[in-house]
Amino acid sequence: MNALAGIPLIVLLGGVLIQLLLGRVLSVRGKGWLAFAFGILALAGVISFAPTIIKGQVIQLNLFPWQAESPFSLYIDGLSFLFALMGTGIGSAILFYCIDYMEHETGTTRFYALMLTFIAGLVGLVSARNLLMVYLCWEIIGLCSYFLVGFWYKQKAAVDGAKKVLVMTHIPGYALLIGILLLYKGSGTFVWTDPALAAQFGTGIFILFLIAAMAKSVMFPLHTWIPEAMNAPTPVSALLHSACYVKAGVYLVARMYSITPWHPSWNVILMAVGCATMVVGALYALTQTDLKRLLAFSTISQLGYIMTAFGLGTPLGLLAGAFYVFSHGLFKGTLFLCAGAVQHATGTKDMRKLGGIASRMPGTAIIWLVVAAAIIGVPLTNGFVAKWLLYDAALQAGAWVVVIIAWLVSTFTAFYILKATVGVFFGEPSPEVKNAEIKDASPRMLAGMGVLALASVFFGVVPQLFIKWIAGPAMTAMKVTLPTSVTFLGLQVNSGGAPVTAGAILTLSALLIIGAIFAIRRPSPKGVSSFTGGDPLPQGDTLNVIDFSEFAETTFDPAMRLMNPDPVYLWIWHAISWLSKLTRTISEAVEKKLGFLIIGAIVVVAAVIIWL
Amino acid sequence: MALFEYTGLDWKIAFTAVTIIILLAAEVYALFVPQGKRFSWVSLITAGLIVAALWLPNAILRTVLLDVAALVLVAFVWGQEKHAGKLFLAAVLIGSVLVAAGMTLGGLFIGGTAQPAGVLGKVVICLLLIGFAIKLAAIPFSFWLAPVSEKSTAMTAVLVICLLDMAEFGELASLRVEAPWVFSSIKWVWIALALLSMFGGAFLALSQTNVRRMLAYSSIDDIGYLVLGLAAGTVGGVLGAVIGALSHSLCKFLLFGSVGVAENDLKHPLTTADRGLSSRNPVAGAAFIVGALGMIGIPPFLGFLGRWRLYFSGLEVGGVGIVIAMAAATALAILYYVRIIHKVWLGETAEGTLSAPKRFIWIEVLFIVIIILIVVAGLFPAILPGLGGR
Repeated sequence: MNALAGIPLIVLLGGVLIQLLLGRVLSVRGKGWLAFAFGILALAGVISFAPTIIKGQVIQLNLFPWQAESPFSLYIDGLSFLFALMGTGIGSAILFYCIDYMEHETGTTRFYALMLTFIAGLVGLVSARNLLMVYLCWEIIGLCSYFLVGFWYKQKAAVDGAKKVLVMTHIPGYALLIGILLLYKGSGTFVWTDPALAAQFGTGIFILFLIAAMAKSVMFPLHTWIPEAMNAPTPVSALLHSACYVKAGVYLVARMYSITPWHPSWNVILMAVGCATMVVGALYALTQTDLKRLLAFSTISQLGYIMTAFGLGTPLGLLAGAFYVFSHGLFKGTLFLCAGAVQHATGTKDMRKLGGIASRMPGTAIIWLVVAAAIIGVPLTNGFVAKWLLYDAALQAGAWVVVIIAWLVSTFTAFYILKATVGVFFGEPSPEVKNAEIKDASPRMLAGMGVLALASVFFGVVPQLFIKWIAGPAMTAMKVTLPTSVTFLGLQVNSGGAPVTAGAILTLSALLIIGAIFAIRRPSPKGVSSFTGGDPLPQGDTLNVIDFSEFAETTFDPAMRLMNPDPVYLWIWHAISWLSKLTRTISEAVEKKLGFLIIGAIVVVAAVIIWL
Repeated sequence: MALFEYTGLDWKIAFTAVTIIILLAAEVYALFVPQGKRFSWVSLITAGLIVAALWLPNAILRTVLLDVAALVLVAFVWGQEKHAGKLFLAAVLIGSVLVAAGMTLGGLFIGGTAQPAGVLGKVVICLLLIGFAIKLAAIPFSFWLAPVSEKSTAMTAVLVICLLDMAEFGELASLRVEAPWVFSSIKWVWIALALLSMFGGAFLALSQTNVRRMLAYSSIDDIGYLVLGLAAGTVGGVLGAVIGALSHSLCKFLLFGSVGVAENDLKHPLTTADRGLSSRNPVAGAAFIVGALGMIGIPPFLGFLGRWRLYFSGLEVGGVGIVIAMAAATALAILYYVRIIHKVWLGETAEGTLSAPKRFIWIEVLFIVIIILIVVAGLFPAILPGLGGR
């Protein structure tokens, strides 16, 4: 079995090589099919680990020597399995969707090679036994995202987004490298399973790792790159948000549970970061009129939930985190693919120019509704189970602040997702789309989205399968035992009482509030419809997406200004620019008197050396 | 002890291979993009002298051959632009005289390894430090490199920076192993010089509008890291520095090569006023981006193998403070490279540059081969002679 551990990685990298070799020979569709085939093969490779992983065992393999005490060495446990399954599974569905979506694009060899490398990067990251390899894969997925976000490199908006991705995620990545080197200095090993390394793992290292994870997983205040990355092809956004990029930071945080027991202060730090991120993401999502930007801010908010769950640190919290991270991959990937299908069909992702397209894109609309229900937390979906577990965990841990914030943000989530749903699919079509010829997504695109939506429902109805086969081993890898037995719809059979009931009530109450508001003010058949958030509007007057966004923007403006870190980054950039100009001025002034410079410098250096 | 025994990397073989690769690449490049009269001969003679110097056991002959190679390049640069040639000549003469004097007084030409007693020892160290700092264009002795990079042809700059400069750096690395007292007794002066080069080079690179000048200052920035590795003096530090030097040579070829292609296309020096050049020369654009990322030391490129060791040596020699300073300087490097990549190469094409460019397939093949080499060496460092597994 161990000998097969490298198969997913080898298959994916083999796929990259074949894409590059056959790029000039194959048609665009052919390249798409080929990439999908390699994605599925890699998924099969990952699934083949299941029998060993479910037993709580690990799979190890030394691939080849690399450098100082750090061979390319694989260590696949339950946590690796969870993330690798997510990367290859969701990745394959996205690649299937790409076959039609990318049909009319140029540069598809580059696109598919990068997509496969991206997935391979995540698989390598979660399978790596030594931390230097972790850093290697960390940066490989960083580079892939940079190149993929800038795929349309002739468009200014795309390359501006790519620049921000690189700068804002690579620079904090040095915190990870410094942390790894500090561990190496103290322990003499890069292997994270080595107890000598664990003994060196203190609060400083935790903070360094967390900084890197925060940048990758869009935690406040390092989150501002992700909305700018939305000018990429939609499958890239889907992969970035669902499986292969933002989840890398979550993996790093979860893996720290495998390395060492957590100090209580670490939990507090992570919960604080997670809660702040939840709120910031949701507030900004409320104000968006661009569908993909709304989903991007939604990712920020949802990642806040996930990190908060891991921050709780209790077995139930970790279970909630593991369940949420996979669920989010499924529903967020699908939401992005739906958004891409809408953009593909209408030529816009601006919600002000959309509306009423459900009748013309019924397949996409149905899939959207399913996953929208999942992200809001409607029963029968995985989102409901994830939220329920999270509330239970927070209640059990006595983390009331977390409960209140999470509940509040759940309400916001329902608001902005309903705003998007109504604004895009229902109500009166905008003039831009009214007479346009709009076709539903192709069967293959629908299949790519549909399979992920179905999985969202499947794991909402029978979450116990996921918990037993996937989350359970992941819990073992994080050195905790499964705290509860979950059955259909997320019901817990061996625990009960107030926390569980309250958890369910909290999850449902957010929905009930939204439902009640909707019932008070039903969407008007005339005009683009959005609920008012209060009393019905006068006859003939309607509230549309723009009004809603402006209302949210006005209401939350002070909070949003306070929580926007971009002015700080801009200030740093201006300070650096000023310093560089000053250095240049000094340098030019000195160069005019070159003789003096040389003699002066020689005298100073000589004096220092002789004095020393 | 020799550099090979200390680090496990056979610098002679590795740098000979890099020199031959760059020589061949430069010769092919010059067939399509003019590099000045008699460039073929100049590059052949320079590379030949450098390779010969690498393999000679006698330190005097090594120094002489490298100085002759430098003078050949001075003459070539002088023919292209007088002011740059003058500055380069000044640097070569002052640097060579100081290094030769230091080596002679320190008994290093005759195999002496002990530090001369008293003030003489300090004078020797002083001469060597300043001499090598001038040769390597470390700040505050970097006056010559930016004019040479800006005013000479792209491949001339490659010969100066990728071959001559790195060969001189190899000499300094050998000295680090053979006469450690040159470094250990004034470790903090070397570290200060390294940090000054890192930050000074980075800030100056960030403020440039001419891309070649930016590349020159980025070399100065990178020299800071390499010198810091030698100052640390640990096996990892020295190994990181020599791997960094190999990576520097290959990446700088890509950077100058791609700039040369773009300039040949546009018929004017490349500046931050140019836009969207990747649309016209996609492979050159890719080469520039890979060269830049390789210089920064991002995995999976070869530079990473050197860079993490340099960070580690910084950690060993100066603790977390030094390594954070190194990371900060690297962050500046990202900013100046990204600035050029996104202003000049990516994005929309500037008006008036929409005509189809003349593309040179063989130069593009060269770029692709070197990109593959940088990635393969980064992932499989065992291909570097003597390094396997270390």
